[in-house]
Amino acid sequence: MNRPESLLSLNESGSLKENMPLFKILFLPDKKQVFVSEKENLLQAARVAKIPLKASCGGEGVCRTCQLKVKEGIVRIKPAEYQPASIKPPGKDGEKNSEKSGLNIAITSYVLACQTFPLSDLTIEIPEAARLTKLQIITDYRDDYPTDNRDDYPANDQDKDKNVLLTEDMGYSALNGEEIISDPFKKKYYGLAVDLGTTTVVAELLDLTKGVSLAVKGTYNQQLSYGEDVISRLVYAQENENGRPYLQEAIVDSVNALINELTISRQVSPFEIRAVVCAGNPTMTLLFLGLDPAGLRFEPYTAAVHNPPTIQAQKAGLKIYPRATVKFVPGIANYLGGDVIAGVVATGMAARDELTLFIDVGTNGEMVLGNKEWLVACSCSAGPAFEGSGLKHGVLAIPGAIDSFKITSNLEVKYTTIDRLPSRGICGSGLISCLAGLYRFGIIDRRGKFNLPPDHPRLHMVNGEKEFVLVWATDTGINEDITISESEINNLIRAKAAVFAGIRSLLQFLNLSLENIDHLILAGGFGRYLNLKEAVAIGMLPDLPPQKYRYAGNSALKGAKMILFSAEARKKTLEITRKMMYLDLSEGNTFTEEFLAALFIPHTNQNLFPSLKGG
Amino acid sequence: MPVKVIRENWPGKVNTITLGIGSQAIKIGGEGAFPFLAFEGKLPYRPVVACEVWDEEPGDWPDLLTAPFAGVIDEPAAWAKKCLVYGADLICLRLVGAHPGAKNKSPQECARMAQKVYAAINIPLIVVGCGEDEKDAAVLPAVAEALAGKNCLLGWATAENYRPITTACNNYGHSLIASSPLDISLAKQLNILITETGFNPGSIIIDPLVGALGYGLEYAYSIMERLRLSALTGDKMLAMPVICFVGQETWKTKEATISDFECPSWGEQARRAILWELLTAVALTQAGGAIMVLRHPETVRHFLAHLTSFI
Repeated sequence: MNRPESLLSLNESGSLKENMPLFKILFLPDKKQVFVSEKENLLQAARVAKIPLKASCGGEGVCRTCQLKVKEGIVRIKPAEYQPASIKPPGKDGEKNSEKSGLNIAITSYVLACQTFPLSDLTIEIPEAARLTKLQIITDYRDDYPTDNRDDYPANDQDKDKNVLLTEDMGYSALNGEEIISDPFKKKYYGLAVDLGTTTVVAELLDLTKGVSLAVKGTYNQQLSYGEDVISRLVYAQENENGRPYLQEAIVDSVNALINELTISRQVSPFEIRAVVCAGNPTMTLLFLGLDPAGLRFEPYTAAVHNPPTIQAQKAGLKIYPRATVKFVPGIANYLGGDVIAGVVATGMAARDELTLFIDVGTNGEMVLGNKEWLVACSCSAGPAFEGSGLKHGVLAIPGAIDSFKITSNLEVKYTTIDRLPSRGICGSGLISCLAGLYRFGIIDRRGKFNLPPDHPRLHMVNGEKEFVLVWATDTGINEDITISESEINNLIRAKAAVFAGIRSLLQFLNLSLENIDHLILAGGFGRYLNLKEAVAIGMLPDLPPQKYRYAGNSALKGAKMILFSAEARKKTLEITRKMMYLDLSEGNTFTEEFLAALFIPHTNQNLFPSLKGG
Repeated sequence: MPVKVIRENWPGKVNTITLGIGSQAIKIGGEGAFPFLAFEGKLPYRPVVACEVWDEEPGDWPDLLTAPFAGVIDEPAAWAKKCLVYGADLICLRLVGAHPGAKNKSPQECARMAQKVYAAINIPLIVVGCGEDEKDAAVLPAVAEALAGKNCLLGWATAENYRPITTACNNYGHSLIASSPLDISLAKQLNILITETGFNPGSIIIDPLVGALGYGLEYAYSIMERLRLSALTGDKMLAMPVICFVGQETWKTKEATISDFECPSWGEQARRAILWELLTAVALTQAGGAIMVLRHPETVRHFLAHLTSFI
């Protein structure tokens, strides 16, 4: 499978064929210069220039996150209902757009990058707000799992003699004993464990000869400029010419950027990296490989591959030793991929007697229940609400995102933000906190409907819908009120209901109840910043004693690392995928019934939440 | 060898509700077992029949259905009296004219109508609105006030409009119909919401939105069966008696409305339509319905006869 040539050359060849003139686009303050035709919009131009911009909607002209400033030149703005009226030049910059929409404008003005095409050479200024900013990236993971049975997964330093893949004498990789190293005299062999996340990509550089970790780095997934969630990426891959190669390039570039950072920081040559293990969800895995992900969205709803073959780094486009092996942690179903399997490996739950429930909440809530005898997994669509998508003031975990609320009994709202910056929006943990607070003080009822007098100062009617003002414009970093509307609350309730209904369906399938769960492990970034009490108060997570809960951190990365290090872990991984049963929640009524029962705070059956009774 | 009868022992029972006042008061509910399984628990009160009376002359009723009320169908109080002759246990007044898409009658106008009908009959009255949540939230409090102290049954309170209706019923001493679309969780959620406003759960009656024969009857049946099972197993938030709007569902089916002429192979409409309404009512009674709201007097006659033969 071949990767596409760079975007630039694609453009050039395409343009030359059609005899289309190329315009020079200069991006400031980056001082990056690229050439594109009038058929490419500024968002695409920025991608060519490798400047990642925000475009949560995937370039549909809807989200208004990709606003750039045209300093010089003539542009054509695509006639659309969203512009130019909705493009507000912040401050007093420049004259207003001529209101003749769709016409050529040569002024200093803000435009939506995805809706704007060059008609001359341009100078573009990229405001900070349009850039993908740094995210809270979970690069660490916990080793202190309950009764962690280290003997089963001896990937720790002290066990290196037994388990490290590459000992001095051998030319065999950690990867199923495949021979990967042609130079038996070479002494340094490094490996790379990669967590291919939808939002963030994290890589860990490992010394395979010593069995130690050298460094961990994380970055955002560059695919973010093609859409914020899995579905918008799948849509992009299908509905745009070259959509798939673009997405592939974006994620491969993200990994290459990490390789670059990691190798520089540890003064390692990238060509000494001989083995890579990637753990990603099915969409990310397919896109990384450039395979058609259509099967995830359409009938017959089967991914092209669950367990991709090991490939060489040069085929994958990774800038390391060209013949290094790149392996993917296998998944078992369309919505249960290598990231979850790696997580299961990392937590060691498949080796314990006690019953463990492993939960990874993102757009999908993926969960695995089991012990050393059996494993059953399911995936429920929670929607992207907890990732801030689909909410007017929802954001990813960026600096300035509100991550917790404290609402007082006189309806004053206090909050904290990431890095203590002025608030820019609300991220997942903040949304849960918000829901819990609104309910606790009777601002919303159990179904999420506002229960305030219509003239309450914090209650606004916007487009016929009630909105509650959480932060007044003057206190924010975005100069507008941060609000939450009734339909947004409804989205959140649906998301939390999906997670809880998934847990209940899984238990019901096995004829077990919540009390049977001995350990509950929360994986991913969501688990890390979550206030457990609040998540229980809204009925998202089961009302179990707090000591039964554990945060796993980036368990996908840890699993990938273990798989890279340890032959034993690789064997166990295959065993796990063979043993694990996938429960399709779309079959039968159980999930639907559980979902309806969970569309209530905390739940229609209040006996399930004994600690909240009378509270 | 004697056969040992196996009995289930249920810890819970359905709430008992009294509708109306004085000697004409009617009691419903109170069941401690599944319908007709009297050997397992007490079934103190028989299901009752309410006949539908509209505040406006119904435009879309087939002749078969309007004929028994000839001469009174444009006069709700007289229509209600006629229903008593046909054997109704209660009257269900439906304020169709309040609908914003119909005559958009004011809450006061509706309240006066309800008072008038109540004065004409001397039996318990059910008043339901036009089915438009927002309008019902305005109309029903006015009706509640006009009928203060008469212990009527008002509806429909839904998840969208329950607050003002609940408050009014609480203030003026009425029972309440809580309506949710064919789901046991939604029914329970609404009951919790209503109860949390301070309303007595013992004055709530559940309308699970049933379907007629051929139109989801079996689904309604299983939901009602589960409601009863929840009540018997001790779920206080589902221990309410159930009301079934059978006439409303039946008389919109083509089986009930198509004439002999239009579809001769289906047999005589008079027999077909009434059997359709009757079968729906009988099945839902088997499922545990306490109040059957019917439309045709013949259905009422057969239904009451059926109950007598069973109990």
